[in-house]
Amino acid sequence: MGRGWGKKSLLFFSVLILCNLVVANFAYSQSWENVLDDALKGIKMRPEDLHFRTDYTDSDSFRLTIVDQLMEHPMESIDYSKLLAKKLLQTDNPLSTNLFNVAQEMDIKTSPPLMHLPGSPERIELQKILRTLKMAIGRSAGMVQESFRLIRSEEIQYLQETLPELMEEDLERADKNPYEKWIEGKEIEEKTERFLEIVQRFDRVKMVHAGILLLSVLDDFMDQLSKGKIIVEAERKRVKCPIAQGDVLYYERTNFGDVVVGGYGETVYKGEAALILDLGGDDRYENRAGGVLGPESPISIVIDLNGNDHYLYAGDYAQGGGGFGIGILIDLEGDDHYSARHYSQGSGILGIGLLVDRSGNDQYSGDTGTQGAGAFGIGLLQDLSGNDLYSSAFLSQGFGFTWGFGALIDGEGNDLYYAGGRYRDWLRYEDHFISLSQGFGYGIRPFASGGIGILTDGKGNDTYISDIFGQGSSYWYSLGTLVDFQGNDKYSSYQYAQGCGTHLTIGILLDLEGDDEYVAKGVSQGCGHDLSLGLLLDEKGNDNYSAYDLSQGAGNANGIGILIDGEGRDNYLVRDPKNTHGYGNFRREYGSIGLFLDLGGEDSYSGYGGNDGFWVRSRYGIGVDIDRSEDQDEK
Amino acid sequence: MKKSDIRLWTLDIGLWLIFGLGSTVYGQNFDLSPMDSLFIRASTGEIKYLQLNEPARDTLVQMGEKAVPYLIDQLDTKSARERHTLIAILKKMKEPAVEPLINYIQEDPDRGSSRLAAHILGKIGEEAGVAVPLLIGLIQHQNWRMRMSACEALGEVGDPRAVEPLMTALKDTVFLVRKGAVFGLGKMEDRRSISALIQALGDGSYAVRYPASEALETIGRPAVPPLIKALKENDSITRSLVCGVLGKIQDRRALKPLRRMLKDEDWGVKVAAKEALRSLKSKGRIIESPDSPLGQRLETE
Repeated sequence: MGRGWGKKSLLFFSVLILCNLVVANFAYSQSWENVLDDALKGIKMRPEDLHFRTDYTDSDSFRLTIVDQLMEHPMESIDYSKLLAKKLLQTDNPLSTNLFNVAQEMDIKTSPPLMHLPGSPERIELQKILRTLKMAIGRSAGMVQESFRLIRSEEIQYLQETLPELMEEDLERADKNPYEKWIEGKEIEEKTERFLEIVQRFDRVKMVHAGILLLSVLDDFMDQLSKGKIIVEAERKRVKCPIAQGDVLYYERTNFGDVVVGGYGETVYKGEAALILDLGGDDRYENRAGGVLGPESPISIVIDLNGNDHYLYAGDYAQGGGGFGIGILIDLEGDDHYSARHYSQGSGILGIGLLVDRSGNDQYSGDTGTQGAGAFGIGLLQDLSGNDLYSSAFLSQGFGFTWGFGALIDGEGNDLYYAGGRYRDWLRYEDHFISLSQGFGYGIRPFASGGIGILTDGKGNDTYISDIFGQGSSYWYSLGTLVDFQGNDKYSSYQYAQGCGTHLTIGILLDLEGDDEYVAKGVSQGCGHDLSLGLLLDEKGNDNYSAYDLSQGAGNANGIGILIDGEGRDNYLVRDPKNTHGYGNFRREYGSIGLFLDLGGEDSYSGYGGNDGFWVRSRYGIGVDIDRSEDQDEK
Repeated sequence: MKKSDIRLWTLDIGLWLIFGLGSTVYGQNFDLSPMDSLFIRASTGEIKYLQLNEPARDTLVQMGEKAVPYLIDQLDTKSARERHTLIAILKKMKEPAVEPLINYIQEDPDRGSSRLAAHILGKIGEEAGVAVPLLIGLIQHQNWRMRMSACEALGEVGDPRAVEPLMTALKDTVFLVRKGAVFGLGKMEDRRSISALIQALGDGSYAVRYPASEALETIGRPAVPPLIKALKENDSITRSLVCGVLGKIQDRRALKPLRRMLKDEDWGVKVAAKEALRSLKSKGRIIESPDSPLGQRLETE
């Protein structure tokens, strides 16, 4: 208990009566953790009451340890998310280290084999580097194929055919009648069970080994390239190439695929390759460009050193899309345009997918399972700088499906993230679209727990737009998190968003600095529904929050909903004061928990809250508005 | 012909009209039984078809034992919405569902869907009295979710034979089982459970403490003396809850002890005591606003 808190608490709680707002002037000197503890005491609870069990339903072999840990200690998801986001944003981290770190989160504890370029204090000829890269690809390809050794080829085919039924939305489905949907649903249930039985035999460790080995060589290559140690001048003679037109300096057909070196001029790539190294020029990639659907030809790497490039592919598994294999696309400079359909742009589907764009103002366009998405695999999209535009429809932009880790990592720039607008939410609304994106974790209820989806943005004034399910949210034994470190940001969504957990899961949105705006209809802005944590923490800035109902610190159906705003003059607008601003309802013979904490600044409320006061509107919910800064001034 | 027979005939004709033609309602034929079609209508969650829910559910309820085998077959559904639908239908159907649900549990108490069956028996309430021995036995089940369902169901059925077993279940290691037991005891309103319920006010989980306080409020005046004793408990949350319960019971014997609690070392307890006194004095109705003279007086009391 903090100094002076007892007296203050007594003073204010002494007039606290159900259904009455208490407003008084006072100050507070505690961290939000202390305020939280005391707020809990105000509703006769303890910090230990913020807890979920991990076995409300039978567990499954896909449950991640971290998801269980965070269910048991939900408040730890704040530090966990921050730390994870910081790690991912560390731009000086080698790619192999990033993959290694991510694998740890996925319970893939491993000591992977590494491989390095020949060390030399002198400059190295490109040919030598190519030799090592080819060796690495050969070894990795073998390891990828080993990761499927316990799955028969017809079963692999079954997985590839069934996966779209598990992940993709059928545009025509919305118009089908309930009978058709029911029949389809039963068929999909059966297929899901068979899919999960098979996929359990996929050796994730082997796949990660293959990825780390490959990336360790690429890390060396990038390092030596940045130090100017690679001699490419000798390679300026153009050659004929069956899969590319324009400036091609080298072509070779190998056992594991084609190897191409593009020159400094413009090159158009049309066919698939195991390795493309393009030295510069404004290029056009009409192939998968570092995308694969293995495991037959399981590796594809593209490294483009310079130029404003167009990556345009109408199909799936492209542009750092690793389907049943490893797909890597690294673009170092230029304003680039990426367009593909599903499972692309840093997407790992029973594989590893990595898209790294180091600079430039870029545009990304895709549909489903794209832009940092992982399903039974790892997908990372890392864009280090520039003002970028990300557009997708569904399961994207930091999306983690079962046994999946998906991250969209954007370092700097004023970025726009849009997810939705294509697949109607026929279950709930006629006029809204499902997103399940922008830091979203998703499991297959009730068959398999979900994964980790994270969107993290370092700097810049960013705009996030999603519709149904998005922005630091999750569904079914997963973690969905959005962490924005700096900038004046705008968040717009409709439902199940902005720090929302739905059905036994953890959803969290952290915004650490800036004057931000949050707009949603409901079940948002720190809302936990059905034994889930939904948490929105905004540490600094003058913020605007707008919602219609069941938001801003709302617990529903034994969930825990928490909104914490640290500093700043904030504005809270809600339409329905009955279930907002610290509200918990009663279900299954006990309560849900809703906590609303504003820890600084002179704030304005429409709804039940009030500046500098406590209020209890429901037996299991409490709101606290205090001003820590005044207290600090007094000291 | 009996009235009930006429009703069934009407129902059958209605079903034929719906489903004889029903397969073409949406312009396509489906390989579905009439019962399937009805159940789909009863359980669809789609906003566009929600209006189909209630009529279909009502029809299934009216069908009574004719519909039971089909509905029992659906208990192992993976769909949460279908589970809710089954609860909604079978709890209204009452007696015809009881025996089949008991048989279903007895067939295999370990399967997950048996928990749903136990839950539904509880929702049926008094009419499921014949299930009490089975439910009491299930309090010892190895799966905590079954133990919880059994406790809650026993409470809903409200048979006094369940009081002792439920008190035993208060010692369960899983808080949700204890919650179920407290809830069950709360429904019983049996004085034998007073001491156990007061102990539950100090439980590690709010999910147990709150229902325990509500159960004691329901038991009312007989709980007052032991509650007054419990004001000396070490745990401040327990003392706060005891104050709250005493305030709700509205027994003047609690006045003095509650006043003493205004000097408690813990602010939470003091606040709870003030609230309780206020509630007690106002006979349960909040008739003054906090800044009223009464509110101010309580502040300085």
